[in-house]
Amino acid sequence: MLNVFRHIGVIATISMLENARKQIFHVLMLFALTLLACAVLLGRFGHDVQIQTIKDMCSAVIQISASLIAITLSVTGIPQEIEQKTAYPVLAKPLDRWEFVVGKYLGTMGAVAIGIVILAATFCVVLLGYAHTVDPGLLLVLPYILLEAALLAAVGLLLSTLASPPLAWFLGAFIYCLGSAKFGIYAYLTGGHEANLVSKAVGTAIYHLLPNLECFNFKEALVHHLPVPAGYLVQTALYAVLYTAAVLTVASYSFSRKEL
Amino acid sequence: MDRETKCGLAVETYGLTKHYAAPGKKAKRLAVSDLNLEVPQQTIFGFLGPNGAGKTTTIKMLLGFTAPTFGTAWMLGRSTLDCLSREQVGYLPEQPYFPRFLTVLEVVRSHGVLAGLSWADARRKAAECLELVEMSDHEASPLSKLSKGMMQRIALASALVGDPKLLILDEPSSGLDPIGRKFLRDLLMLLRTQGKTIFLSSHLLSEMETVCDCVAVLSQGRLVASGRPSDIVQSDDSLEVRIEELEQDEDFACDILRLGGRIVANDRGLASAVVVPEAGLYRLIDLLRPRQARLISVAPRRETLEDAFVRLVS
Repeated sequence: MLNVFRHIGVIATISMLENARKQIFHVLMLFALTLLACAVLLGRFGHDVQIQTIKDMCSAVIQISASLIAITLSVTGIPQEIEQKTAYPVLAKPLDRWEFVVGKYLGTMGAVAIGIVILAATFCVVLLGYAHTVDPGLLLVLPYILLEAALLAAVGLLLSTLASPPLAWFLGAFIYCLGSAKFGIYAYLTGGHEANLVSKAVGTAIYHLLPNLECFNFKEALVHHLPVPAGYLVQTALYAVLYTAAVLTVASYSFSRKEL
Repeated sequence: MDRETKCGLAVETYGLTKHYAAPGKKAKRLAVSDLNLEVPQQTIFGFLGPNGAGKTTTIKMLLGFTAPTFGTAWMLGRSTLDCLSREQVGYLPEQPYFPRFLTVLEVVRSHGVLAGLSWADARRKAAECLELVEMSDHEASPLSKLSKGMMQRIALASALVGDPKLLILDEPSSGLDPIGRKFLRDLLMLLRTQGKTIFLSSHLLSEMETVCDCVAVLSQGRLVASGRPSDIVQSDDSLEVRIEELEQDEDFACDILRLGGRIVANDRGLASAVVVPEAGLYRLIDLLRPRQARLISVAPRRETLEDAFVRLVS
């Protein structure tokens, strides 16, 4: 058992360092920081609700950026290892393929966490500059942004074992968009008298299969200082962990059947 | 096959077959067909074959990178379907690649941990292996600063760090200069004396002939010959006598023909080679004496492994 942790630890560490050095990671971070700057500039026009607008826009930027980084890094991780042949000496060691998948996943999440910390630190500096205080509500928002990214990284990893990286990225981004508006799409496809059998089936499939990413959105609570029930927080965290575990299990199975 | 026999073998394959789907075709491409191999422990086993013969596919099946379509394979008594079969195996890929930002020591140490060592043991073994491959001075260098030959040495150290009983080396000489090749040859000999089995896939047939205890020749996915190199090369009962270049001598040529031999003129510089049956050697010497021809060498005529390889695969 100790060996399993060691294997995963080594793969995750190398993978995290590799991801943090990737050019695409730097580009996405630069893009996110530029968006944060734009959000702050736009927020200044908010006059009476300047702080609220900045909080709302900056947390949205962090959430979208973390999701994009998670999808981008996860869909390229394993295919790049195979293409560059760095996976072969590792997989020739006495370890199961699922250990490799989990190691790569944790490495990706390590890099995503680094990204979130940098963006969050920038956000805090902005808040200190405008409000002279850091909102404790951030401690609620940031972990759930990380959980949402974790779920999306698992989905990206699964897609990367099934499709080419560009296709996997588009599918990942599509799932992110659908998952973020899941209830609206479900209501649109299944509600009303005009909904036919096909649209109802599609709506139901989207509802049950795709991840519910709306539940990770605590921006409103941050901006308006709304209370969030502890039960809901636990339930959401549990949902993220279980969904991620299930997707990683399928990804491991898919990768274990892959011919290298 | 009983268990006792299996325990004496490092690698065994029975009916190992691999089909690949050919793009755009209904029929599948046959990469390896009904391969039966037995590699004894503590030997250097040469795995030969032209490009596309199925060598790398066989190695991939042994290491679990790809599943066989039919047949079974065992390494050190364990089925290759079990990842623990790789517990005592070190692997050097044809073109080793590692994350280039890592240092030499970090790469070898991480491979030690992946091979089942603790962090402390992996650190110690990594230093030992780097010394063995003469790369201790580069411990702290990032891989991006190393040459191809140095990378090959690092890959070898990474394969050796877990102290494996079986080493699978895919074209280990590629990228090495003559000094590097000599170093590798000596290292392989040393590892054999330490009781390791070496499964060596290479195109460098002259080297294989020097170091291998037994070889197998693969052609178009099929095993065409296996055994000791001396069993594979063909020899007849004739001798090759090399003499200093003779001037045109019709009588001598006729005498050689009468002996059942032939003259190969200008063989390797200013020398001629005369091929005669073993029984005709003393008669040939009698023919050379009055002509005062200088004798350079007498050797039994036999194929090189390269000749045998070309004969077997063509």
